[in-house]
Amino acid sequence: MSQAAKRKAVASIRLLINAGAAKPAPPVGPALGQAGLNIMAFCKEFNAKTADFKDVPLRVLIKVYEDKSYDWTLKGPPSSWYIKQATGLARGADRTGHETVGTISLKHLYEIAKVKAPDMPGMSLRGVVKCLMSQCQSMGVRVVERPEDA
Amino acid sequence: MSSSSSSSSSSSEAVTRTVLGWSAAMMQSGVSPAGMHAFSAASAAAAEASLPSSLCATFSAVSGDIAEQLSDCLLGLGAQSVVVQEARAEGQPEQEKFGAEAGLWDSCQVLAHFPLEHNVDETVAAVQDILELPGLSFELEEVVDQEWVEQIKASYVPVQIAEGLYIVPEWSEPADPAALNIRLTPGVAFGTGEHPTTKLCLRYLAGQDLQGCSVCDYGTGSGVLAIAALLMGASSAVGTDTDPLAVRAAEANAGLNGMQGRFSVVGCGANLDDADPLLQLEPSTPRLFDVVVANILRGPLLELQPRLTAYCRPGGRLALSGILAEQAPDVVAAYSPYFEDFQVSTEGSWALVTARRKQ
Repeated sequence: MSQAAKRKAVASIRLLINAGAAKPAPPVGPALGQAGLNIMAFCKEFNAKTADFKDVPLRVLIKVYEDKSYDWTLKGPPSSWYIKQATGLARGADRTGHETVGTISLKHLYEIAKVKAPDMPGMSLRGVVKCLMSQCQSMGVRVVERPEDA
Repeated sequence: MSSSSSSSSSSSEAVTRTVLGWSAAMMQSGVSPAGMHAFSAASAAAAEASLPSSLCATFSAVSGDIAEQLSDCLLGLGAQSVVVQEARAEGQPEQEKFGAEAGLWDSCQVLAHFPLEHNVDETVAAVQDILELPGLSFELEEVVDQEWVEQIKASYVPVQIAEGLYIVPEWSEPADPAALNIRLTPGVAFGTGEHPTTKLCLRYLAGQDLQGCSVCDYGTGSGVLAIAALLMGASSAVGTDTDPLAVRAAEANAGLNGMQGRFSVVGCGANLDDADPLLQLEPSTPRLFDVVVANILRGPLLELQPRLTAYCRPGGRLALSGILAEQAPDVVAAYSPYFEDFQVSTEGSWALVTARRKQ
């Protein structure tokens, strides 16, 4: 509070944005608007910095300070992207719970979890795997025990 | 259903940078009543933005320990965005939190946005199970676009680009009526004048002799660059953008500056495979321009090199921006087979590359 005036944080924002495609429309607009940030400036900066990746959805973490300044960090793609890559899917099932569009082995999920774990501090590896399994279920991807069954 | 996206339960007050109502923001910037009327008329024109666009689930009184896990998990299961803020009950002192080193507030409010069709109950049940949480209660409501749209519009203030060159929102009075004032109407298209790349491009144009020139503004956004060029003496301009909202905004801004007869705006695809946007114009329209300006991004600038080169007449001028300084060499390299006299200027971390088409 005295000498080293640390900026006071007022909010943290998590978003999924396609590389190079940030626009003021939702989800960016409402989330940043909520915090009173300059939406256009963020979009332009994000797009320029992610210009090298093409079409990959990226997770973004923004920490907003009291003076409306902010820091943002890029994290990797979301679980659904990894699962789609692993199963070769373009998109998940249309009617979740009624359709199976692919299968993935638990071992593979575990490998994905290890990649994602650093992005989700505070969650155990087991928790990350459970999150992935839930994601699979919502995408219509069946989880099997062994790779040979996939 | 309520349309506020920053709702809070009656027993706590969210401490956050709340978005000022547009009228309050306008009054602070000293806008005349006539100006306010113009703004509200323009807002009414954007009526389609008042339909719900997403769902917002608000979790109140979440402890600091689990707020981060909750956020990551929600994002992983379909939330489009998650905001974590301090939740402070009325009368309590502010909780302190400094930078990234300190832990979270003891009590947080978590707001997660979802697509309208998302089954939020199912997701929250899944999150509870995954994180092994006793019980998560939340309020769910629909969010209307209008609020964030209005926040962008309210941020429109006159901007001075250079000596005697300003960008002035439709409802403001120019500080210097004798200066070159580019009028812009509120909208969500890129090109409000604040961004360093807009300024770089505008200053470049202001330093050129544009009398009687034809201009192509690829990725025109609000149309600001093309309109500026026309006001500076160019005879005609063509603008194109992938965003239909930008096309409409650019056309509206052309009218605002009396340039509607000299500025044609068409939509275009995002890739080089997509049809040449010029094909939508009258066959008699020239396909070569004296000046080609494109304030977009590194990727599109590299991909569109053949097209932008073809648009620029021999001896014509090229101005490319929307790139970071470290991306400039790539852009120069891509265009150097066909252009010469390259110059790179920067403002902050942003760069502008200009050149002349070889004869």
